[in-house]
Amino acid sequence: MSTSSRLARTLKSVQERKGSFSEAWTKLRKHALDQLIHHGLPSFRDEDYKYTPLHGRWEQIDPSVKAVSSVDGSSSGSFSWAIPLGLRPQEGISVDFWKGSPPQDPRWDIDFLAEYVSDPFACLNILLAEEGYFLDVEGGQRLGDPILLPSFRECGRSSIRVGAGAQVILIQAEQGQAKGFQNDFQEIICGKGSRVLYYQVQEEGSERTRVNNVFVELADRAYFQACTFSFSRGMTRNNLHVRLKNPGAEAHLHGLYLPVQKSLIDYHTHVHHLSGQTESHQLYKGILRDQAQGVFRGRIQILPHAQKTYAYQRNQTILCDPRAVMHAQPQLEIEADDVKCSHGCTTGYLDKAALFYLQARGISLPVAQQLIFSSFLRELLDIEDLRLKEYLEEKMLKTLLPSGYDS
Amino acid sequence: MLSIKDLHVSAEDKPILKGLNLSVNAGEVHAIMGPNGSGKSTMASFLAGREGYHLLRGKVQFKGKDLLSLAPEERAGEGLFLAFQYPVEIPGLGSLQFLKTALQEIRKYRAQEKLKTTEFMKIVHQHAETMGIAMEMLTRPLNEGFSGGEKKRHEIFQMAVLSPSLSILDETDSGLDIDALRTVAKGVNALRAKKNAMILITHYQRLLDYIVPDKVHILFEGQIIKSGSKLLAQELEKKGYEELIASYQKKLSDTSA
Ligand SMILES: Nc1ncnc2c1ncn2[C@@H]1O[C@H](COP(=O)(O)OP(=O)(O)OP(=O)(O)O)[C@@H](O)[C@H]1O
Ligand SMILES: [Mg+2]
Repeated sequence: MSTSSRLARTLKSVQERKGSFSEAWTKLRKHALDQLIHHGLPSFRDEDYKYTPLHGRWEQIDPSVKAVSSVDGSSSGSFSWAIPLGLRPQEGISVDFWKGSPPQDPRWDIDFLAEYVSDPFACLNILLAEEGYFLDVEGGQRLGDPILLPSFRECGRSSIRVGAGAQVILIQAEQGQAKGFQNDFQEIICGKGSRVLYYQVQEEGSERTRVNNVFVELADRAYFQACTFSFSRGMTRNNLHVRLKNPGAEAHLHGLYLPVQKSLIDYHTHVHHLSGQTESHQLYKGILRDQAQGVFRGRIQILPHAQKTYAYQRNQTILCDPRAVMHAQPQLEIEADDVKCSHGCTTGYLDKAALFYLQARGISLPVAQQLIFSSFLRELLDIEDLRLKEYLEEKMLKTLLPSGYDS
Repeated sequence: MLSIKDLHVSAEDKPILKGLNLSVNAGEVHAIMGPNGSGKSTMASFLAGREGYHLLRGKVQFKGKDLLSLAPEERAGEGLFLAFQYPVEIPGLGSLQFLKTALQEIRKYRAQEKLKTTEFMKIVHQHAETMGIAMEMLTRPLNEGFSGGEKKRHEIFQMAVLSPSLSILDETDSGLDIDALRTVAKGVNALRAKKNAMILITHYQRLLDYIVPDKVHILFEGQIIKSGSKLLAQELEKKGYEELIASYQKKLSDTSA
């Protein structure tokens, strides 16, 4: 099927989508629709989707073909120490779930969304979102236990607001194994002086395609950390857009990716320094086996008046197989002059000399590889929540060791 | 313990070892000397199982086993240890985790029980003290940011912890200050025992003042051209290689004439 007829089909199913929308949402939907018609569906011709092979996956993505997915079991079993969102009333937070059409709610900042959302999947999410929630963390609240955020089957949309001075740990875990396409959108608004730790754990099965749009805004002195640990077996595209709006805001974006077989894990980050005296750190590291593919495209944008800004970016990948491919590309758009900015991307094969050194000390090949890999990834596992750290460490070691090997 | 017979090895089509013969018995310490590029490190790395070499001819037996049929980790499991001329840095890997894994893997190979952490730490403390290695250094990633001398000392510390039956030390004395040299010698001598053997590759007589060898061999162009007692090293220190090599070449042309 050609891209244009595919687009026509997509638009038709969008138009057939029933529901009553508020005036504001109708306006936003129209904007999203215009964007889609104007830009079309993404293909490898798009700079942003050049390395994300969507062809062959449209049957999953096309909203007119309803996925045969069943609701996946909740992931809370693996994260039993975290409190599932909305399970019981919790002091200092309020949660509102919605289903069907997005409700009329002052918390949607429609103008803002219309201005900034141009990605085709973000547009599709506006048009197709069927369920979601609002999570508000009251100012000054310091929540010790992590909150486990719910995951949606297809097209979820959530809005998280963290009040001034509040502290919260959020875990978003995806363990869906069923065949299907998931396109979700999450906005996280970090208030003045708030501290937000946001962990994503992706363990989707090989039949799954996922586009994960996360949109973050930081006010004065807000501290935000996003750690995306991806063990996905299918195709996962992570779009992370961070806006540092006021002085003192600090964002740390970390990613760890271990794709195997034919999976693809894609990170597109966009760090936007809108104000001076803001700071961003990006660290993305991964190991690619078999015919797996990785993508890292890190965009740093510093506006002319955003002086005394610090932006740091590093991407390192080890390839274990000549068939594995990594596409790494920094994209710096720096318009201010009093700026400290550094970036580096390296991709290389496993260090044979290091491997031999370990083997010569009696360490068998699979264990030696596991040691080198886990040492390489260690700096990403410096996680405050110790139970999560333990969970991820175990998961990582298991993924790095060939099956059937008992150390 | 080790028997090398008519060993011919090449790397990238270049013959490097050209008929090497060497026999080392338990309890012995052998020194191997020879000019730069004569093949000393090649011999050591090849015996330890490094990739990239091609065996043209010859046999190597280690404790009655065909050494060359074993993987590098199996050779270590059998009790072979190579102290590297250039120890490798492994970013992020803690020295202690590395050593513990090595020891456990060797024990696993030998079908021995896993070592308890407390027992492991006891061994570590004991040898760290002898080798003058601060515990602080052991918390750092392996060889990362170690000085040249520290790396060499760490190699001997690893040797002490793993307690191999045959150790090959490739220029462990190079780049050491006099105190470090004494410490390294102390470590080596502590391991010297009836059941253990050692091969010291060195350029300097200096080391042999501290570790007195039973035999000294001169390697030249991939062959041992002369063997003798510790006196050979002293003779070499005085005269240099030139005279030795000249007389070897004369002997060669005499026999072919
Ligand atoms: N992988 C290789 N490919 C090609 N040539 C090699 C390789 N390894 C060693 N050589 C060559 O073989 C010869 C012997 O090298 P080797 O490192 O064994 O010497 P050495 O006796 O240890 O010298 P030194 O005293 O300088 O340490 C040298 O000429 C070296 O360039
Ligand atoms: Mg050498």
